[in-house]
Amino acid sequence: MARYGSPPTPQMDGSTYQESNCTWAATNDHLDSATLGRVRPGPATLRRLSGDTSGGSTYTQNAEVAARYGVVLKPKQGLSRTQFRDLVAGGQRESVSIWCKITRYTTRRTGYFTGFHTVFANDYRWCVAGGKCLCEKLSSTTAHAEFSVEDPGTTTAGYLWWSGDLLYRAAEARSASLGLTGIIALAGPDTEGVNRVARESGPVRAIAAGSGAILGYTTKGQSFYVASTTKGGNWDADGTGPGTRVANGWAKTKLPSGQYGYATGRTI
Amino acid sequence: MPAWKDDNGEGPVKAADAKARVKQWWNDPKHEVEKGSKADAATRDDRLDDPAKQEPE
Repeated sequence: MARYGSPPTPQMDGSTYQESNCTWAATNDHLDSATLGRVRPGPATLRRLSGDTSGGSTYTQNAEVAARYGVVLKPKQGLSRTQFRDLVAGGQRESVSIWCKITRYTTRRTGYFTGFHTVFANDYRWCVAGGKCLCEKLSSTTAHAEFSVEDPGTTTAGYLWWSGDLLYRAAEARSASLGLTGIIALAGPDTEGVNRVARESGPVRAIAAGSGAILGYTTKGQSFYVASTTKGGNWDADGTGPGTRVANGWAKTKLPSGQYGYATGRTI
Repeated sequence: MPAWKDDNGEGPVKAADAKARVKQWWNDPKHEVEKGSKADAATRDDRLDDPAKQEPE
């Protein structure tokens, strides 16, 4: 199953600093993804918490605000292509600073914009030669890397697969514009193949849906191995009952019996 | 030489191998971003409101 990813967050939401909120929209994606949908304050709220009214924002500002929600984001610079890839392939997600002049004449462009921008990389896949290409290349003649990317400036497009080549070049050009090398990114927490402490005691189900049979229960404060994350059935994100915001992120969780099942982002 | 020194970002990757490589450099100071540094300040310019950076249709 595909890795869980935040519903795309639009930066153009009508708020005062919408044109400058790409980093906050990506951080909203980080918070939602890390908590499987439980935390989703929105870019305008995140900006307000930062207190910044100057326009664009820094990755350290984003990390400081994310920490208020208990999510650790780490700004990184000088990343090689392989280091960037390994973060996403290993289970983390990244906001990444790019130069849109590189993407401008591709199907992954941000409209007609040719300046600097931040996008959110959620997942990685390897397209084998002769396999199914999902990126802008539309060709698998040569095997290549692909990233699932959400562009906060083109949210209606949803997540699109970008070739690694395109994303790397756009990110490296951004660093080069500053006289730096490598890639500047804001790395999220590792969410797959890790131990997570249960937030609440709650059911672990046979399928990622509220209708799934209960296999066991998490215990609040106890550590559980999470193998992967996935989108599944809706659950109450606010914990305040029907009619409130719903989320659909689930963690494939190992019970003490050794059996695997699915727990919601409220539980783990 | 560690595999990540190959540095082309290509290739099929096992998540466990990727995690192991990340652990090798995660705390390397050269990848840290200091508050107010050039790399940190840079993303203040990540914004869609610069008319000079918008091409006409």
